[in-house]
Amino acid sequence: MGIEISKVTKRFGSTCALQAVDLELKEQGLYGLLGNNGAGKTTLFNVITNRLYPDSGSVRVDGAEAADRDDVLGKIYMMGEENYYPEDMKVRKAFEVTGLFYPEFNKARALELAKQFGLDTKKKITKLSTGYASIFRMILALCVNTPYLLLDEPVLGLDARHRDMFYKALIEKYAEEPCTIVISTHLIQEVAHIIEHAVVIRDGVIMKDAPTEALLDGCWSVSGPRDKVADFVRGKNAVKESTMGGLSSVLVDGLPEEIQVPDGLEKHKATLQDYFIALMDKEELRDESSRSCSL
Amino acid sequence: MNLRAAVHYKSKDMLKSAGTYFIVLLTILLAVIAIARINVSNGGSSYVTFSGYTIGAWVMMLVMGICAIREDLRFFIQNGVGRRTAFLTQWIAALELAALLAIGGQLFQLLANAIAQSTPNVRIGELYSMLYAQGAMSLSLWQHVESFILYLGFLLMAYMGGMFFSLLFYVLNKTMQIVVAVSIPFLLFGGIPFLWPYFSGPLTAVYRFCVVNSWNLLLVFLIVTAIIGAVNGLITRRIPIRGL
Amino acid sequence: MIRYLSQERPIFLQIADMLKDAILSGAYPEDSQIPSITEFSVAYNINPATALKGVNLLVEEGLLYKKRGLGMFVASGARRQLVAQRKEGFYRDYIQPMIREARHLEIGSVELQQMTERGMKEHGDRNQ
Repeated sequence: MGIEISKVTKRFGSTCALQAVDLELKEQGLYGLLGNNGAGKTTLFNVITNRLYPDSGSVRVDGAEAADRDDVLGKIYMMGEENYYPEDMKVRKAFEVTGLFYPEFNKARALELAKQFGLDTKKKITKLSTGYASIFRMILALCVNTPYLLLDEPVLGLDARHRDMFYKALIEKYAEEPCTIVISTHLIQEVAHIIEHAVVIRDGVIMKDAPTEALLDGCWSVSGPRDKVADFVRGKNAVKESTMGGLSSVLVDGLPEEIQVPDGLEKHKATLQDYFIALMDKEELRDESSRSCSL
Repeated sequence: MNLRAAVHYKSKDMLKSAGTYFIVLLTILLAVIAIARINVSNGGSSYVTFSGYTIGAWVMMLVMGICAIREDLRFFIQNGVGRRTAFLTQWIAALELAALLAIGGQLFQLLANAIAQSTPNVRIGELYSMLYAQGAMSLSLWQHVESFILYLGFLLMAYMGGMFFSLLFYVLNKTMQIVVAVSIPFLLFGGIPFLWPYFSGPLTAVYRFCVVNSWNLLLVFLIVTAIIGAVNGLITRRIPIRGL
Repeated sequence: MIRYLSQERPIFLQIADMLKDAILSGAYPEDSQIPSITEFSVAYNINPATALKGVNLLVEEGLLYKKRGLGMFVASGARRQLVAQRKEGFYRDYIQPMIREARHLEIGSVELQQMTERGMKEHGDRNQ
């Protein structure tokens, strides 16, 4: 049935972190929640998991409101950016205790992953480095086996090798035990081929919410001599242009898939990151409106 | 409700804490007795009254109350356990610990009594015996039961009080935190003497009520606990849960 | 076998191409099992559904078949089928443009055959 987020608004003082957010996360799917820092990704996750109460709107999980209901809350697991474990708890103890609350928790797999990543299970959680604290939380998230999994910037603080290992472990988990996973990140291209559905959020507003295939359908980057490009692009939906002397490159949306470009011009399929940046730039150029929950 | 798992998780901690406390207090008592004996053998004859167990237990519950709620709310929400269950677990855990400490208190009294037979200038007192048994060292079975129940109310009140302060500081912003922190000593040393004439009437009445027997005192403890507990519950219901 | 994915072509098609190359080269022999969807998606860092789409393309073309509970296997005759496919593609993508260009340059049929034989000898005649 999925998670239904309806018209969720959340204010912090005079800042509007979320503005009437409507979002549906279906059962079994890999979503990317894409946005820059401060866009509202963490706040959205916090509202879904009932760490924060929204000012208005509701969150329903499989039809039931999540607020303060253990049976519903137990279906969602969030990997946050902060440590929620007691000061002196060791990693190994945390693994044991998680099994108390999540009967599906695969402790053997968790220990296996800990070994793979080089996580010392005898260490106190608060004494772990930033990277390993992330790895600790990530391992729990990958082994807990809840129907809904929220990963908030999972690779923050991870070196390249560990990031690679994480994505592999994530794909393996998703392939073996499909569920709903939402990855919030600002590292767009790293997740571009992994996520099925992109939700773009900016300043608390959902800008795009579509399968990545659909989003990038007909989206091309056309480059070459400036005049030729301008001729080709005229009358079409040009999203973003970058120029370097006599050359220019334009991101165009809404072209048919099999479009041919005239001689002298090159076309490249737009990447998700290209699209995202172009979208953000376009929004920046609009009038700056204050984030005061105008809706 | 994931209550079972939550209580199971906390019970282990409580048992450990109570055990540690008992051993520590016993050690202190033995030290006190040893010192008193040395005193006697050196010709001194002053009485030593040791009521450390009661005060210590009260402080311990207070501190547990302060520390537990924030840590537990965080830990529990991370593990899919909501505020209501977390709050209920506080009560159960507090009751468990209070019961352990209360039993410990009775054992302590018995043990202390046995040891102190040989050291007559040491008087070991605890809450019940000092207030309602004229400081008698050895109590009857029924008196032990009364003492146990009185302890429960006393310690539960301490726990809820600690929780209240913790929640208060969690919810207030920086400025208000400073205001509250400053006004507490001010109230204690400045405000109370100043306001005494206005409250002395009802307070004296309450005092007289409590002195009658331990059940009256227990009632007062329970009422205070219930009020503070209710406030704690209201705060916990909507409190935002943040990380460390 | 593990190549980097290009941005230009849909990934599932690249997966399909990679599988076909592997069957042709004999890396995945006929009636042998190919790696699982999980293994493919982990190796290429892609969504399992994408890998599945690529594999299913070959299933539809009759090049792979599924054994229940075990996984995907290469169909017997797959190599032959692929060679035939590729031969048709070869005719379309290489022979036809070559003939068009030959016409352009007024190269006749006999000269074309001589050129072909010369090329075969230079590259070492592999089949006949």
